[in-house]
Amino acid sequence: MIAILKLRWMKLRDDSKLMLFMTGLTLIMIAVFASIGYEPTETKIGLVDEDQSPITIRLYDVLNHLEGYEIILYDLESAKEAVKEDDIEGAFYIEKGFTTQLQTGSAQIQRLLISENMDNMQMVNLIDSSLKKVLSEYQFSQVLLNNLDLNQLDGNAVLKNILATLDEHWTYKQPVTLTAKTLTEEKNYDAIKHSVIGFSLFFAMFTIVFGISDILVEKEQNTWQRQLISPISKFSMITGNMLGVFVLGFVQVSAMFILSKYLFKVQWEGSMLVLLIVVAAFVFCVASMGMMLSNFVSTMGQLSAISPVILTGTAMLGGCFWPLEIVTSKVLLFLSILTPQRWAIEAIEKLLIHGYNISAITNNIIILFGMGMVYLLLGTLLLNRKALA
Amino acid sequence: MLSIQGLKKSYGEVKAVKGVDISIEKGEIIGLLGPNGAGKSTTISMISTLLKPDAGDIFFKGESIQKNPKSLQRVLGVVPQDIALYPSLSGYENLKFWGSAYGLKGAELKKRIDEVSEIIGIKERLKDRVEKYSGGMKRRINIGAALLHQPELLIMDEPTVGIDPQSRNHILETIKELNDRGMTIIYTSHYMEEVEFLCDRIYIMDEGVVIANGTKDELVESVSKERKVIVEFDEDAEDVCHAFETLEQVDQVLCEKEKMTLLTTSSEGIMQKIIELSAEKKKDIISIDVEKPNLESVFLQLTGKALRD
Repeated sequence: MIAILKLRWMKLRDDSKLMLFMTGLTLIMIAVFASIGYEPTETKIGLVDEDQSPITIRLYDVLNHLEGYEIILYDLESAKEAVKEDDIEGAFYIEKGFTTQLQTGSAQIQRLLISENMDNMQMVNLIDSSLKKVLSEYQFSQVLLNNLDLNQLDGNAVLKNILATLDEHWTYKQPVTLTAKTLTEEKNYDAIKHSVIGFSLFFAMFTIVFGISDILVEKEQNTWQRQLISPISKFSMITGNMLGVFVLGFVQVSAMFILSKYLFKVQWEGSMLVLLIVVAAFVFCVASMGMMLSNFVSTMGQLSAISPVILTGTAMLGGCFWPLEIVTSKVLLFLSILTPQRWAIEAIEKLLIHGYNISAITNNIIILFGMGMVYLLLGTLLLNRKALA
Repeated sequence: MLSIQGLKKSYGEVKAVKGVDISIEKGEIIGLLGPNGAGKSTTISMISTLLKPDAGDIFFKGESIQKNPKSLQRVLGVVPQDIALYPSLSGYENLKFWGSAYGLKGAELKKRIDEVSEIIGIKERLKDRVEKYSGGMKRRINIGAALLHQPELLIMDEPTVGIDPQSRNHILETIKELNDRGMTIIYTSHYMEEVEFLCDRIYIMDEGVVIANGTKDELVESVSKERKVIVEFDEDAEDVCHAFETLEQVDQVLCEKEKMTLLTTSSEGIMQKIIELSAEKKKDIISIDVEKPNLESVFLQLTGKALRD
């Protein structure tokens, strides 16, 4: 095995080129994502209020306090122009006499849209819930007013006071407050950290899979067959190659986390030592997967054709590019279980973003090593079968 | 030293080797001749422990190599037909790896690399990457990689394919020299003259079986003792030619105007008779050639095909 390790060391000048290229790509992708950032955006919606009644004015207030929306007041023509110019997603049009029509049940609020899409479809729910709230407040106020001696009070001032009190209650003094608190004081999702983790694993997979597939190159160069008839045992040949690639992949992934800390000032939580255990399990799993994959193709050219498809596909499923929390398809979530990336990302995020300790990610580490063992076993069996064919 | 008994190997429906028996004594050079698809490479792959036979066995110094392949692998050197080197590594690095694959290390490895690079005549270019070498130089390093551990048995599978005459001669001289030092060699080639030059005994294979074996002379004798005498005249000599038709020791006469071909198993007195008859018929002789059967004609007669088919 020492001979094989020495060979891999001598060949490092070729392998290191691939590793440096993949590390460079990872750094570029992280830099791009870091520069983009994730600022929350507000959906702009227009409101044309020709009625200008207390109800519609109140409706504007309620709409304008909704999180994620910015309500802009227009006249009808300006609203149409703004929708056409795509300055706003759409606009509500409240005609004069809306409040009067409410009492007869014939009131209408029109939507001004270019076409219906995901963003402006929400407008229906938005106006519906807001209007219900305003009307219930208004009816409640009216009941109160009717029961008061208005001869001695200024009706409008009372109404204004009631609405202000209601508003205060809506905001601060809701009768029931539902709150949630996590026991671990979990940190929020961090897109930059997710990118560093996802891209580090994604690009490292190429180095590892192509590294272990050096066996294919050896077969093409007939050196594999020459080794088989030498006193080097097949076990040494496989372990030597696996170990060489393992070190290469381990160095690349670990380096990415260190570089991200000092180059991009990413603040990692958790133990770096535990991280190295997760990285080791992941690299072992991917190297074994590479060993198995290299049995399904005959040449390096064929592997170069199928690898990007498999690696990118599993990276997408495993959550390298986006968090799995946004995936709702049960099929995709089930498929993600089969990818090593999912278990590695989950473990690294728990560790480095949320600050969990090793006991929270033991299952992930065991699954990664388990998957690796299965791939390695299959890869070795296929390799032996082919060698004797 | 090596005894191959009843070796068989099939690839699916195709029976590549159908029962081969070969024995090799220490210090011999054995030639393995055969056209493409004769089963030579499969036989060599089984001897070198790369393939497991379906039936039969190979005994090295009386021990089955199927049961204990390591005993042979340690003292076996194989020069594969296709170059089996790392092109991105230098010649030195290649030799270093293959030496260490056979357990050499440290000063001993360096010494052997020095000696072998001297033998294969490539010392000056050892630092260059193999991918920059010419075809002949690659072949030499390919051989060198098999010599580092001083194997007792060397298998060379067409080591001179596609190289320049200078490199070819150097390789053949090297093989002779190695054999003189006591190395046992199994040599396969398409080139009849290489086998004739190098080998003590020759095994001819065709369609998965050994169809003949022996020394070159034994093989030639076993096929035919017939000599071919070709005479060329300066003018039409059919009258001379027809005069030979009645001669008892001539088996066959072919007359083609100025050219006469005689086939005979006893060429004694034939030369004198040709000269006498030519003088009698006043025909001037331009040339006389006597052709003995060679390995090429043995091969052709045994297999019905030329060696390079």
